[in-house]
Amino acid sequence: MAKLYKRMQNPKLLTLLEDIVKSEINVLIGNLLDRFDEEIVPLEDEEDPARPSICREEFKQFLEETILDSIKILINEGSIEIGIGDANKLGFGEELDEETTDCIKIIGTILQGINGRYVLVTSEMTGGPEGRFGKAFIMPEDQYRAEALSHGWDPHRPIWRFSDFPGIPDFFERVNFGKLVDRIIQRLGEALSK
Amino acid sequence: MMQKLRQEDLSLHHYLRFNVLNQYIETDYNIPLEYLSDISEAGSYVYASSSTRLPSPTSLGRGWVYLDNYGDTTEQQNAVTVYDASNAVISGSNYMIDYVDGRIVTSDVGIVPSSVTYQYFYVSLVNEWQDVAAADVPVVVVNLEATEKEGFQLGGGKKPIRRGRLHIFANNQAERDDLIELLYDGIDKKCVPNQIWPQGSMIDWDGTFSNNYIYEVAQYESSLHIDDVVARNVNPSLLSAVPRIDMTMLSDLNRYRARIDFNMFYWKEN
Repeated sequence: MAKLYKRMQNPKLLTLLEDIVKSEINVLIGNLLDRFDEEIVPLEDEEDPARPSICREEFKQFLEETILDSIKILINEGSIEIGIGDANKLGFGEELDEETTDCIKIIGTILQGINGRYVLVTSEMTGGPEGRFGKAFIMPEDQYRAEALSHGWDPHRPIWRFSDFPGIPDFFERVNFGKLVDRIIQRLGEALSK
Repeated sequence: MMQKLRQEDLSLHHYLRFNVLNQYIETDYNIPLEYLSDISEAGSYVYASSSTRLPSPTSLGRGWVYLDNYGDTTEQQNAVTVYDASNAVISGSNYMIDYVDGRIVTSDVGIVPSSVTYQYFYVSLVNEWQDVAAADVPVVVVNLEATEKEGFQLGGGKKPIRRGRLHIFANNQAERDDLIELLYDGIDKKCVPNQIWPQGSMIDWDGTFSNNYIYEVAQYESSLHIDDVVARNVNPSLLSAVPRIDMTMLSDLNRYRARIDFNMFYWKEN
């Protein structure tokens, strides 16, 4: 153990470990995107300009950034910690971090589910800024129908396809972190024995 | 024959209703009873309460209280009191109670109920996500959504584990936080009697207390244990983004939400 500890102080080995972790995380993200493709995309409205499949690449990028940011390799404790996503940006947690994009808001809301019938109002409709700090939001259908004309929106806009959707609260939970860490350790062991 | 999952679901409901959410039992006093001629007939005279409380005491997932205490196996004696026109108490042996719809049913045309004082469940408890809108907040949705059955010893024993969630929908932040705390503490590392409900649940299909109800727990099985309890607020991102300045913001049932995840498991022989 002491020998391994000393070897892990070597910056080259640390870089090797980080490379292994990153490549394994790509597998993990691939699994999450498979679930996205299988459980969310088939439910979308193909006519919806803000449908989830349009957001797929942005969601992938979000996962990559937030997972990589969360990796902690604790040499002294001999452990690797990996978190997933940014809970607050997806709407889980004490406070919502609203400084995110429309796409992440849309996907976060789908994952958590929404009860009742809503209409999605996008930045395109409000003239709000695109990109980060997106301004998309949902309104209860009754309220939307009553107020749409006064805002210059189509009062007949269909309800959001993910209205009354119970969400996929276990979206991240099915990821087996134990297996992931086992694979990382195995690959590291193989690299060290060469 | 009720299957195991439904037995456990019923057991959990019963526990939550009477041993956790009993802190949210309210009393509605001297509510007038109205005779319903269209559903009454000779020998069955139906009277409905007309409470003005919101949420309605008889809305989905609520209803009148039918036990005096958690653990009782017989119909309540103190939670519902019926009065005649002179405000005298009518003996409970003279009527039946429909606890779901809030009705009194007499078989004697000479007994005329006039008003009722009753306890009811303020927090709605439902099974279906789709029931939330009809129930009115506050609502708790109980969902046992995944099952894993693993061995727990050499031999034939098993440890079935149900992954469960409680979805909380509240009127405001204070109510949501209170419900989170109450439900978390109410289930974390607690045991629920593992009832098998051999003659069905306590409430019959017509809303009355079932005379056939039998309290019986599963043989060669432990009680239902609950652990791995995690509570978190849920803030639907798209809802929180509604601009406050130029929109009329109606009350919204998704605004004050939370989720409590848990595992419920037991050990069984063979």
